[in-house]
Amino acid sequence: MRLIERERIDVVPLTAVLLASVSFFGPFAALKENRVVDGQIIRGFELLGGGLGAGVLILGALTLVVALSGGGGKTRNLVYSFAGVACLWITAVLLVRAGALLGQAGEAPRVSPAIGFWGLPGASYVLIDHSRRQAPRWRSLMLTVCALVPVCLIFSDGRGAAISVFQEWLERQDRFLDELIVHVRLFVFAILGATVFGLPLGIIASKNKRIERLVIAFVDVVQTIPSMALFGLLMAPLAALSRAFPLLRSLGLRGIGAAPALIALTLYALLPIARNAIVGIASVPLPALEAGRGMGMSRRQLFWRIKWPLALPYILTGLKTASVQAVGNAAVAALIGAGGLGIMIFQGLGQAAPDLILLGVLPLILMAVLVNRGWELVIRRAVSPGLLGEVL
Amino acid sequence: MRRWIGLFVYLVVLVAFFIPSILEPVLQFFFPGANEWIFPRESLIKLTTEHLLLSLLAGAVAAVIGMGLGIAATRRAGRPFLTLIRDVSSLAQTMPPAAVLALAIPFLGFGFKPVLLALVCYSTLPVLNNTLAAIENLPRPVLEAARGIGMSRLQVLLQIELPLALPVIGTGIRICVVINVGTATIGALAGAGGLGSVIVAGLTRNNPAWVFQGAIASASLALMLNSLLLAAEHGLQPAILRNHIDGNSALSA
Repeated sequence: MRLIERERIDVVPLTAVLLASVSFFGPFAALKENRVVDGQIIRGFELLGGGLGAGVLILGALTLVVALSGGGGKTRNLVYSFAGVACLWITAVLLVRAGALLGQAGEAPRVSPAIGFWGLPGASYVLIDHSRRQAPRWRSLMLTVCALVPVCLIFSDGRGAAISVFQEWLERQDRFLDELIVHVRLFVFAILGATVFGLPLGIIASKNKRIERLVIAFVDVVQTIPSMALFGLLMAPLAALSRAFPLLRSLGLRGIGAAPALIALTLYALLPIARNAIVGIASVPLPALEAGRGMGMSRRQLFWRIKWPLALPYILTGLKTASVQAVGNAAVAALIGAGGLGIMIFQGLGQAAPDLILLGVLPLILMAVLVNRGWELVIRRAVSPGLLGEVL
Repeated sequence: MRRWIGLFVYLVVLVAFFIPSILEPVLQFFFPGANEWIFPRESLIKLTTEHLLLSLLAGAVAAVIGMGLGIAATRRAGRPFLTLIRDVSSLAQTMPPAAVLALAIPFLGFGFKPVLLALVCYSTLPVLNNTLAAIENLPRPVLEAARGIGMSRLQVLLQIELPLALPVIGTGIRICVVINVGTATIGALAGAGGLGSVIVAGLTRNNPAWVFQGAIASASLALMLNSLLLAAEHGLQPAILRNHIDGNSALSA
């Protein structure tokens, strides 16, 4: 009996330890004199002076011992959560220490993350993801706060100023904020537009087989056109429209800029929204509808009380997919002068400046992840618990 | 039959685009204002071949990784990693491919490699999800019967689980390849060639005719591969399952 009750070796945290050691023994950061040169590579363990090294060793040993021994679930979770949070703190401290090593030589000395840098945040992700599994939901929120607040504190008094991304940010603070706002606005309006058109489209289409086939064929074809090309294809007709109708031009409709980007993003987001609405309504079991009809429900009641709640998991999943895609596609919109975070990415690519690329990419990824998480929370709240298994 | 007609139509469009004497008048008709119609730097057929190779290679890598992880996570030793694998791959798909590409360029340099990485990150999830769903949802009695007649775990995997799961996995691979054809256009930003380079050139030089030919070529390539793989998928399915699986991909698409 005892044998069955005992927990087995926990293998997942071992991956985390492996990832973290990449940070310590692989190239963690590069000390550079300016933006372009390759710089001097520094390994994580070279930055582990004083008590920090001992702390890291103890933490790693503790994680290993807990993972390899068959300890109780609660202790394990506690250790993993703490280790995961600590990994992020350690990353921040290592970066600050690397900054302190930097001489004053060169016009803009900086610390750039090298490939090994990603090991510690990766380990943190694995540990927190693993410990979160059995934990209540508030705990994962608390963990996020515990991980992020001290990191922000470490950087808040200017000690992070040597880090390359911060330097790029300092150089263009106002610009960054503007582009961020443009990006958010593009994506929010695209999703709003696509919802306003896409949901009714899907709902109407599901009433009639022929319209349904037509709508699905249309959105499928739109989806195969690359987003970049869709931007470009809209430039010509919109430019012609704005030449022909001065009124439209005064409303801001032109061949380049926000108008074609917004239209293209909306068309793109239309696909998952309309398609999932159709699939969702088609998934409503016939007996449920017949039961509703048998109870004497009107058509309106039938829709709002039966079809809508049962189709909701699909509809919201469509919105989630569309939103996450739109965040990324909005970055490509910079190619046609619509602005947004893509501007910094493309400038960085053009100037071969990885730090500038990071300044565009990090908020972009963060935004995509947050939007994804946000919709997952909405889905959890709005969808009947019995249906949750199908989507989350 | 209808499937083959669609395939034929896309193929004809694509081939017609390769012949400049057909393409030029069409473009002249649609874009009278442009000053140059045919993309001068590379032939469309070469760009399409590059595009196709890039997408298929990325599709193959994503299929191997997705199936491998899916099979590993459903073995006894791999079970503990199931949640992690699922979470990491959906995180990978959450990241915009343009962002992954831009991130990878400083490490991998310009060209083929960063694009491959971005495509694989973006397109592994459908294969993985479908592999997991297919293997997890196999009927218990079948597996028990297989064990009961003395098959080893490997035999169960190769002779029972994989053949039965193959149609659903095939759907995942089809979605993955179609996604890749559309996404591979961003390869032009890393100088990896492909149809994206016509589109980007058209955008920067303000020439809609170039954007148009790149867009139509890559869209018909995607639609063509879609119908081709759809036909292959039907071939993979045992006749008895054929009506069973069609509605399966809605959520993962």
